[in-house]
Amino acid sequence: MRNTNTVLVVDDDEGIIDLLTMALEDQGYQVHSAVGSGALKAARDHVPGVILLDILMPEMDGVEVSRRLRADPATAHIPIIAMSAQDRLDTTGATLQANDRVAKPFRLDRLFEKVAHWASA
Amino acid sequence: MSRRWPAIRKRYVTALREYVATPDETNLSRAYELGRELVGEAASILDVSTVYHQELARLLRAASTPQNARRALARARSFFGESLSPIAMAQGGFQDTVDRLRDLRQMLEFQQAISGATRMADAIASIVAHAALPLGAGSCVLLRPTADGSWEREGPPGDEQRQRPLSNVERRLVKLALQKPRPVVLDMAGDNAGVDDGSGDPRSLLAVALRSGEATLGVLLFEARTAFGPAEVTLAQLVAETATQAIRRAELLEQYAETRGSELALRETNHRMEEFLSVAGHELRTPLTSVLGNVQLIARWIAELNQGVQGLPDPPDQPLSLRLAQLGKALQRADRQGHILVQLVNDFLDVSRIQAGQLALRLAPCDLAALVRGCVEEHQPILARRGMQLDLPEEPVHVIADEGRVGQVLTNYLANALKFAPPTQPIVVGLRVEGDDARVWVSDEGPGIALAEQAHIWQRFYRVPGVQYVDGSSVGLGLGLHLCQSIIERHGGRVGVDSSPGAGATFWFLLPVAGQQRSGSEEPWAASRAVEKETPVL
Repeated sequence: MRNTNTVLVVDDDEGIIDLLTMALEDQGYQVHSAVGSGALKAARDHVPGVILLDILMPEMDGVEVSRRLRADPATAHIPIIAMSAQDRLDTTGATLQANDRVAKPFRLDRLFEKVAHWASA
Repeated sequence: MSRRWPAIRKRYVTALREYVATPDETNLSRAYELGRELVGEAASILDVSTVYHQELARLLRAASTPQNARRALARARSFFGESLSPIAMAQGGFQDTVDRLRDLRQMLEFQQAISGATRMADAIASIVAHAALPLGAGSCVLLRPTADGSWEREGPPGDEQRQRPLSNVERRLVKLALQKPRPVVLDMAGDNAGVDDGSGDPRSLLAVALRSGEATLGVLLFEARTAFGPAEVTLAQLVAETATQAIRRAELLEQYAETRGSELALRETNHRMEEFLSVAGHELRTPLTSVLGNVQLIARWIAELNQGVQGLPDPPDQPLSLRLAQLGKALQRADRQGHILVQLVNDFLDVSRIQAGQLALRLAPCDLAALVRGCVEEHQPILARRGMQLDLPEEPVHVIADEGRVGQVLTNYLANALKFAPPTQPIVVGLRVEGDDARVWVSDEGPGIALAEQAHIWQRFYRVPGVQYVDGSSVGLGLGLHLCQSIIERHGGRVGVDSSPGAGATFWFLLPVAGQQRSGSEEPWAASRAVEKETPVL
């Protein structure tokens, strides 16, 4: 069972993690954060309602993280919203296993809509 | 054995008998001529030999006395002893054949030796190392023309005369070889041609030019201590032709390797450019995400605070409410400017990508009417404040397009209309199918564009001077319309503007309708597919 009130933010940029933590907590969510492969353990531990996953990260990128999350029965069912500041989000989308996408910079209200939709989906 | 064989054999035997009867010069030369003819028509030397043995047996049988038989044998022997007798000639033919086979084998060896060379230096080294063998020459050097009109001497390994300038004799011979289509020979052996005098000095020189079309690739210079005969001249011609092919081949292979190298280097550069643009995009947008996100978050909090203050029955601090409203407006401005910065970053990266030939389109079948409708709806909050008319067909209009990129073009047209047209005048967005094309347009009632300016507005970094902005920002790099043109043209379409000063402007673009066959296209989508190629567009 997912914790629909919980969001896992996976990004290597502290500024983005802080922003999303504040903004989503403000919306009433419990927010956890992780970088790269740390997302795999965090997702198992917290089983969030939705995972916000950055694509371009050092060590392990979002494409690989999404693949492993999907391969693990404990996390395979958690919806993933991919975030990218790159143009090539659509190209990586071919191998990226995400339910939705959001391009950086995003509008907060649009992001809240997506998070609400997938957390309760 | 030819059909002429029996007749010649008969005449030859007659001539032979006449010679045996009367051994004079006339009969000898007649028998000799017919003997030559007989050898020429024989299938094998055995046939010729059989004729002799049969004739000898007949002479011996016919001899009525031992003296007669002895005389016949002596005459026959004297005839057979002639070096020009058919058997000797046949033996000579054998030798000839053996020689020719040897020549052929050596030519083959030469060809094999030089055929493996893929680099010019290897080809030349191979030629000078092996070319002398088929000719039985002592040595061979290759003279290559240099830029200053002199000759560069390429000799076999250990050629100590490499740096030696050409002697006068060699120079004259080379000059002659360049004028003549066939090899030229300088025989310094005189009457003793063919005899090695043991002195070690070259007795004969042969020069042959290596020609490829109009160009002279070089001259092969052979030296030998025996004279070069007609067979060697023919072989020299063959060697020259083979060497020419080897040099040309090495030249072409080197050119190919160079071209391939440049192509690989270009691909590497493009790949690095793509990587750079991708990283640059990421690095520029990440801090903007943070800035804009925080601005929006603060704006939300301030709005909440302001509402809370407004909700108080008796606002304790009027200046606080006023200050919160000011903060809200300031943050709105920051947000708006931040988004302009995002747009500039996007435009800048797109233009860089177009210039690097890296703007890849993700083409897919789509409904252009739905695309236009969706795009307009996205701008509805802004457009709602302005008069807005939609002129779209009911039915779908199928095109093969990159939806995101075409949406970007329409958004750009809309942004321009909002920027320049008076708020009181409506903006019209339309779509119509015209023959094989779908036309999308955005009309405004703005100040319009002078004809002289219309040709320039699609250029990179061009901004129409002295234009008044009624909405949005005046900030811009002059890239928007240039991007629109590049994107639409990569779809196989066209862009344009109809305008005159004071009468507004209609910006339009045409896209090929899917299923409409273009001239020269075998499949309906060929026109669109053609633009998928990663070719530089500028």
